[in-house]
This record gives sequence, structure tokens and C-alpha cells, in this order.
Amino acid sequence: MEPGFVHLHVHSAYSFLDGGSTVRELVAQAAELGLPALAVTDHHNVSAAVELRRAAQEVGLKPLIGAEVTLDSGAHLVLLARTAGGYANLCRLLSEAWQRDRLAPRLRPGALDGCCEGLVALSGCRRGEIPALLLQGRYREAREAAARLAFLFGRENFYLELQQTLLPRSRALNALLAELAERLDLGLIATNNVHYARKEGFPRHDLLTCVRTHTTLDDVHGERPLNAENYLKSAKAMRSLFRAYPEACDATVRLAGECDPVPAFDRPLIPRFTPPGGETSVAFLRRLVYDGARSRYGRVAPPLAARLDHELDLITRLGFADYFLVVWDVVRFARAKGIRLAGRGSAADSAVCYCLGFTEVDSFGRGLLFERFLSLERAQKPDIDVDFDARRRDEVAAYLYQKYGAERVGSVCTFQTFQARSAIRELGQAMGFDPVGLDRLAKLFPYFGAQDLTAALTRLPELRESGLPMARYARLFEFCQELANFPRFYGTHLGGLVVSREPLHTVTPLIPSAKGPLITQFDKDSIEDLGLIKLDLLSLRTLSAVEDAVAAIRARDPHFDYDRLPLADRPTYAQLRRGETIGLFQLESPAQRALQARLGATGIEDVVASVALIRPGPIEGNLVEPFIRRRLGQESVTYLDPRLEPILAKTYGVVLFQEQVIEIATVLAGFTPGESDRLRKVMTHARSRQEMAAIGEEFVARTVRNGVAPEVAQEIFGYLAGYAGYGFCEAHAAAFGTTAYKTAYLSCHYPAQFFAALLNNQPMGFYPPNTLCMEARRRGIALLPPDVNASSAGFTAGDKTIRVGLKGVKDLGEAAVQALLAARRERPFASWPDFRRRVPLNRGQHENLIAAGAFDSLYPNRRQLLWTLALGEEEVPASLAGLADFPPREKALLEYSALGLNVEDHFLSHYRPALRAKGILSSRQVTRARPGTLVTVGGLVIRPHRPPVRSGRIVVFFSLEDEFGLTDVTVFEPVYQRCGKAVFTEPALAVKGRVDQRGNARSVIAHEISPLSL
Amino acid sequence: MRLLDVPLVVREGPDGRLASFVWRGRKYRVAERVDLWREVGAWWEGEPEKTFLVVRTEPAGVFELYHTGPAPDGRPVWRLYKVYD
Repeated sequence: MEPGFVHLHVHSAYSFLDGGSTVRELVAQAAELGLPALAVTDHHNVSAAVELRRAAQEVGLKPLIGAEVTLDSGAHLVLLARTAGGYANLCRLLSEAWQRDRLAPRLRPGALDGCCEGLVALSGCRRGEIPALLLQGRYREAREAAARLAFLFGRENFYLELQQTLLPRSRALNALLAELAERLDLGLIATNNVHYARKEGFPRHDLLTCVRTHTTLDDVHGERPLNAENYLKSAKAMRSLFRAYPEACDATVRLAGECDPVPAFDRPLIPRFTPPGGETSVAFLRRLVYDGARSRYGRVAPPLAARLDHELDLITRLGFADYFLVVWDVVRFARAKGIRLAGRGSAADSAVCYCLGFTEVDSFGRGLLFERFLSLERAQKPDIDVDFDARRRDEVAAYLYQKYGAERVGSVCTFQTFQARSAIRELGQAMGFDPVGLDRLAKLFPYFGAQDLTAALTRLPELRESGLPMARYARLFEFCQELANFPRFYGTHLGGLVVSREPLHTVTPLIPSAKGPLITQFDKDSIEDLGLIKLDLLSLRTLSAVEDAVAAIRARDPHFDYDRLPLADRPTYAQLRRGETIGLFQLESPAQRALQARLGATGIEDVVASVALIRPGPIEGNLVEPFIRRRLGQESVTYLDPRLEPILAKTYGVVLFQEQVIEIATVLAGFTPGESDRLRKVMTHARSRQEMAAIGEEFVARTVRNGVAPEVAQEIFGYLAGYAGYGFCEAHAAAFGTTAYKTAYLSCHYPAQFFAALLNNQPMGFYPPNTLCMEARRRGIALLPPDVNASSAGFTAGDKTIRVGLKGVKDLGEAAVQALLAARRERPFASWPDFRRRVPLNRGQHENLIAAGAFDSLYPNRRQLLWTLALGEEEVPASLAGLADFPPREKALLEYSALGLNVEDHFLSHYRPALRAKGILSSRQVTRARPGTLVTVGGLVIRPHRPPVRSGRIVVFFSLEDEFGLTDVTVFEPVYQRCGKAVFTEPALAVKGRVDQRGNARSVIAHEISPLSL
Repeated sequence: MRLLDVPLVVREGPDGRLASFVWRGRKYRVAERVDLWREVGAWWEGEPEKTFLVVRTEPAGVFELYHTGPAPDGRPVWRLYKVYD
């Protein structure tokens, strides 16, 4: 057997712009080369650890973890974790380095003292202290440095690193290192300072280096690699390169054998919750749950008690009682502080979560399956997601930090990756392309990940017909695709926090985020492998808007209780059936508006189903049409087995929810609920035909044993296989559906307060503010311009009015708004000159206030005010007295530029006579046209998008907005390919097409599309 | 030191390594390989990878040579890059 080799100095893509291969690519190559182990040693991080362990396990490779650190002097040093304790020390060292400087982490002098236990140090590349000194001819200093590090780590844990990457003077350097090793009795170790898995990966690494160093390929830079030798070479190749130093290769194998693999992190680090009065956490949890149950249900009947006991038993057996108490404590804090919240996700399958107040979904009443959330078989960590008023979410997070200590709480990181636009710009600049051309090119790619770029070029007419020399960019596009999803740097997960029993820096380095709070070096996909449980405290602007709307409503009606809104309100459902859902949570997209106009919603279950139906899965799986037909009684509802009826009746025989898949497998095949959920997961994620066939055999065999005919069992499995991948968690749909309904109620009964609240919490939802204003006007709400004597900072609702707030005026800023309001509190502004004397604003701010109409009540001629300002006069001079104000169309334009919306009239209303003359209809006329009529309609383009459809072809949806409302437009692929270029590039369009009517939903199927010239 | 970058006829030894070369009609035998490195050059313009060699020769001299990929006969294409005085 040939002597082996192990690569112990390897950079993955987590070296951020200094690694040309992903962890999986490196592991695959190491396995192909037959190497027994692989270490990943990224710059200042161990982010690869979990991915490395998973990938290495699949191919039987021993995973080792370390990091290349930079010392305060700028010198590099490679540290490998020999033991779990060494890994913890590494995390501690990395945390400290990052917390000194989050953009250029460095270890302070002395940081290694007392932190070397369990670590092995390699002297590093040419930027290591010892090689650098030797290359400078400073042998004595190199010897001192080596002796110092050997003393620090212990002679057996410090190696002089030989590299033969075919750089000038490598032979001489290695000879000096070998001499030093002999003199100090130190070990030699051979590495290849790997930066990419295969030699072909070199160009990407070189290009990433250019991005990192802000250079182009034509520039010379000291950090650019000279050659393409830093790849995973075979043991034979490495032994050949180091034939003069076989002991350095032997050392790699020996050390890899001595090092523990990446720690398994198999001990749960759930924080301990200390109940009051010495009670155990299990007993305390049980008491809280039963108290909550009595509060929710009045009395705890035996079936409910059985359900609660079952859930509590499982929670206890899985060791999660403390975790539930931590969440309970957080929720209790938020409620006590009046912070609006709502649980979401599969936690709503739990009656315990409902009784503890995490969710508002009565899972027991709905018959939801707890095992979709938590099961003994799956033994997965519970995933409890709670939405909070976006403005106050950080207060809740701060409570956790305060309660458990900053060293035990961290935000989960994300990895910023190359998207199409950023990849084109950054990689293109590194390749030396003209930045202006790149900017034009990048702007054509607003909707794609970098991996979809080449396919988009051939499929999308706005790219094909852009006039840009795409052939010149061919290599750039290839690089963009290759580097899609490569991590660029750390970001902060919007809601994910981990709370740990032990200080977090023993399992993950903690690094400061851009905003300050510490984040982990592992993202949501890896963090739980460390034994930690993620707690998602999410910011939801909808809840902020609800809070604002409720406050405004209560100012008029103190008895209004949002938490006790009637769920069977007829006017609310009537509004839904008209498809009037703009602004509503989860129900406002064109597809949802169309669904609502067809579904005939009469109860909350229709809303819950709606939330689940308009998702890529059900749409691709063609679930929507059968559901609507059955809901409307146009298609009979039949069941292959009578036992399916109680499970599927609420969805008219369609398998819409994941819980239904679990229940079918439980009832018909006799699976335990946990087994069924495992089946659901496998079916959802099954990639191979064989895997699916194997599950099918098991399901059919067990179903037949339960008295079902084989062909029926097979057919049922066919349904499950067809639908499982598309199913949606019913609990989540119920949680979102409840909030969706409540926003519908607010919009129906309190439209002024509701739309004002939406406008105050932008950006949120599907539509821009101008569309919300249009909808508010259409619903009979008068929009009033900003007024220096009447406006508040934000939008304010009156009885049937919404007054535009001062914050909405471009460039005014918080300080100027507050100065204005403070001056007004003293006394109202008597005139424009009075305002100017009392509120110090710059000219641009002043111009924007005039353009927005904020002085109309003091001086209605906006043109005269702008001229006075331009002339530098204090008051309007007499010479301007005859100057007429702007015509309405110009006023509207100015207003839009100052506010980003039109207040009293929609912009297009000023062009209506001209549009009429061209035969272009309004949205109102389209709603009155007979189905099938050929019409031409014009408007501003709102949210063009290409959702996935079952056929795989492109279908484009967008809305045309005018002063009367929206016209939804559908463009099928042939029309899109022929004349769709303008859809994504023009602000306003004229669309010729046929009126289509389905239920109350009306749209235009496009035949011709052209820019709308105004 | 002189920069030349001229084609060179070389002879390899039985181990495939550079053994000698002829420059200006005079044969130089490689006495010692002083250094060896590899450069990728302007890969984005299709430039081939080069392997550089610094050798001490007999008669006495220090030369920097490089070779790129194989010629049609399968042998590397050698050039004399620098002569150290």
C-alpha cells in the first residue's frame, strides 16, 4: 500500500474571496483521491465545520477543523483542533480576534497564552512569521520565533510547515525550514496551502482575489497567486514534490490520526430555566399549560387533558421542557410590555404552544397533529417562530441577552452570497469591463440568483433584445454561475437567536455584526448541529401596522378589541369575495385577489385554505383549480376509502396540508404519527425514483394489511406522492390565515385607519405606497396633502380621510420634521414667511415641501413660492403676482417627485382624455367589458413577475394601475417572447388583449404589449 | 543580467530533466538546478502556463529558462529568458 497524505492547510469558500471551492467540492475531490482525512482551515473562521462533518461522513472521510489566523504583526499561523477542548479554545481565540476588529480580525499579542491546549500550530504559508523571516534572510529571528511558538504550543504540537507550490525560492525556503527543524528538534509537515479543489479552479480563485484586492486581472498585486498549484494534489503527487522530506508527509497522516474529528456536538445546550419556588421545570411547565388551558377553554375536558398530557410527555422525554419555558418567558415579557406578537409555523400544531400563548391557533379544536411539530421518531429540535411588531422585536431580543447573559445569547448568522447583479458588477470589474456597461447589464438582472444567469439570457426577451454585446460577457456569465451562492461575508439572520446553557464561544466563534450584536459563525442550516436550538423572534411589519391601526381605532372607539374580532363577519367576507384585498396580509397578490374573487369565501377556513393554496407548490401541482371547483360544488367530492373522508373533508378531498399526509399514513397504513411525519419528509424531499418506490412499497404493503385493496392502496399512494411535495403546514396556514382575516376586517370596517397604518410602515407588502393610496381613494378615503399646520410626522387617519405626513416628504428627515413640529407646538404658522423664519431648512427640503403642497393652506401658488425661493426673497415679491400656478399635470409630477405618490389624483387621470382619444381603456371600463372582448388598456406597471408554473413555461403576471384601480394582465410565453421586452423595462404599458372572467375575477390575456407613450 | 526570451534547443537526460542546451553555438551542461517555479501568466488571454528554471551551468553561467506546453512532437517548448552575468 502506498504511503498516504492528508491535506491539513485548506481554504474553502468560507475564506471569503480567498477560496475557490465549496466544502462539498473539496470533500468530493479528497474522496476521489482516496485521501483518508481532510482539514479545513479558513481565515479566522470555522464556518465550514458542520458542512465538512456532514459531507465527510457521506464519503467516509475523517473531517478535521482548524483556522488560519492572522497575528497582530500581520503574520499568518495555522491552528488545528486536536481535541474538542482545542476546538473550544479556537472558538475563543477567533471570537476575541473578531471582536477587536470585525473587518480585519487579528489576534492580539499574548492572546495565545493559556489558550493553546488542544491546538496544533503549523507555521503557515509565506506570510507566516517564520517563513517570512527566513525569506528575508533573518535566520536568527526566525529561530527565535520558532522556539517561542514551540514553547507556547509544546514541541509535539508545533510544526514547521513545508510548502512546494512551485514558487520562486521554495526549494531554498524548505531547506532552511528543514535546517531549523533539525536545530530545534521540531517536526516538519508538508502542506499545499490549498485554495481550490482542482487545478481548473484556479481562475475563479484568481478572480476572487482581484475582487478582494479591488484590482483587475491586468493589475499586478502581491496577493495574486503566481500559479495554479494550490489545489488538492494526490498523495503520490505530494510525496513526489516532497521526496526530499518524506517525514513531512508521514507527519500529515500521523497528525490526522491523532486529531479528533470535528466535534459531534451531541450534548444539547438547551438553557436551564429556573422556575420560581424550587419547582422542577417539568412540573412548572405542566402547571402553566393547564392554567393556560383553563383560560383558553374554560375547563379541561378529558380529551383535551389527554392531548396536553401526550404533548407534555413527549416534550419532557425529549428534554425540551426548559426550552418551552424560555419561550414562555419571552412571550410573557413581550405581552407585559404590550408588544404585539403572533406565533407561526408548525408550533401552531401544538396545543401546549396554544395554551402557553405562543400561537393563536386552537390546534386541539382544529384537530391538528402535534407530530408535525415534534415527534419521538424524528427527535428533531422544536422550531418555534414568533412574529413581533417589527419596531419592538429588538426589545424582546434585548430581554434574552439581559436574562441569560451576553455570552450565552447570539444571533444566527447568514452568509451574503453573490446575486446576479452583484456578481456582474464585482466580477465584471475584476475582469476589466467598463463599469458603465456593467451597470446597464446588471440592471437588467434584478430578479435572479447568479446561477440562473445564462438560462435567463436565452429565455428572456428583455435581455436578448437589450442591445448589449452579450457575447463579450460570455466568460463573465460563466464565472457568475460558478460563483453563485459562494459566501461573501457574514450577515445577520432577521430573527434567529440561539440561547445556550454554556458560554456560546465554546461551540462557535462570536463575531460582531454590522449593527453590533454578536452573531454566530454558523447559519440556520448548521447551528442546530452544534446542540443549540434556534429561537426565531421575527420582525413582522404587518403587526406594526395592526398596532398602529388599532391605536387609531381605539382613539375613536375605546372598546375596540382586536383580539376578539368576530371571525364570521359578513361584510368582511363580502369584501374578500369581491377580490378587494390590496393591503391585506397574505391575500393581496394578483393571484390571491383572483382566488378570492372566485373562491366565494364565507368562513375562516376559506381564508386558511387560501393562504396554503397560493404557493409555488400547489400552483405547480395543479391543486388550485380542483380545489375551487369542489369548493364551488362544480365537481363532486369523492374518496377512495371512507376513512379518508374525515381527514380530507375540510379541503374537499384535496390533499392540501402536510398534516393530512401524516394522518392518512397513520389511519390507513398504521404508521405511528412520528413514522408518518418521517414519511412526509422523505416524500417531500425525495430526489430519486428508487427512494420514492421504496417508500411506496412500504406504504402499500401496510395499507393492504389494514384491509385496503392493493390497487386502491397504490392509487392513494399516488395521490400522496403527487401532493406531498406541494403540501403546506396547516398550522402555519391557520396562524397566517387568522392574521390575514383580521387585516381584512380592519380594512373593511376601518379603511382610513388601516391604510394610514400600512402607509406608515412601508416598505411592506406587495404594492408600493402609490398603489395603496389609489386603493384608499377607490374605497372612498380622501387623501389630503401634507400641510405644515395640519400634518403629523406620519400618515394620520380622519373619519374618511388620510392626511399625508411630513416624514413622507423627500429629504426632510427626522430632525427637520421634529424641528417643524416643535415650532408648531408653540403656535401655528401664520404665513409662509413666518414658517421660514421659525423652521431652519435647507433649500432642497423647502422646495420639496412646496412641491408636495405642504404650504397650500398658507399660500396656494406653488410656482410663485418656488420662484421666490430661487430669487432668495423672504416674501413673494410683487413682480411674481401675475405668475400662474403649475398646470395640474405638472403639479402631479412635482408632487410625485417630492412624495413618491400622488395625493389627490392619480397621475394617469391627467392623461385620460388623451388615452381615450387613442382608444385606450381604463381599468374601470375593463371591469365593465364583456368577457372575451378585445380591449386595449393602459396603466403604470405594478410588480411584474414570473412565478413557477407547472408546465415549466414562462407566464408573466403584472397589474396595470390607473386612477380607477388595477387591471391584472397575464402574458403567456409566445406573446412574452414576441413583445414582452417592455414589461420589465417600461414604467407604463398599453396592453391589447382579451378580457377573461373567472368567477368575480377579471383579467386581460395579453396579445400585444407596447410602451404607453404619454 | 540580460533579458532575451529566445527559442532554445535543449537536451533532456534519461530522467526527463533538462541536461544541457545550446546557446550562441556553445553547449552548456546543467550543473545545478538552482530554482524552479511555475507561472500562469495572463490565463484570461489564453496565455499558457510557464515553468521556469534557474540553472548553473558548465561552462560557468547562470541562466533562467522556461518551457510551456508540448510542441507537436510532444516535447516542451523551451526558451532562454534571462542570462545572469
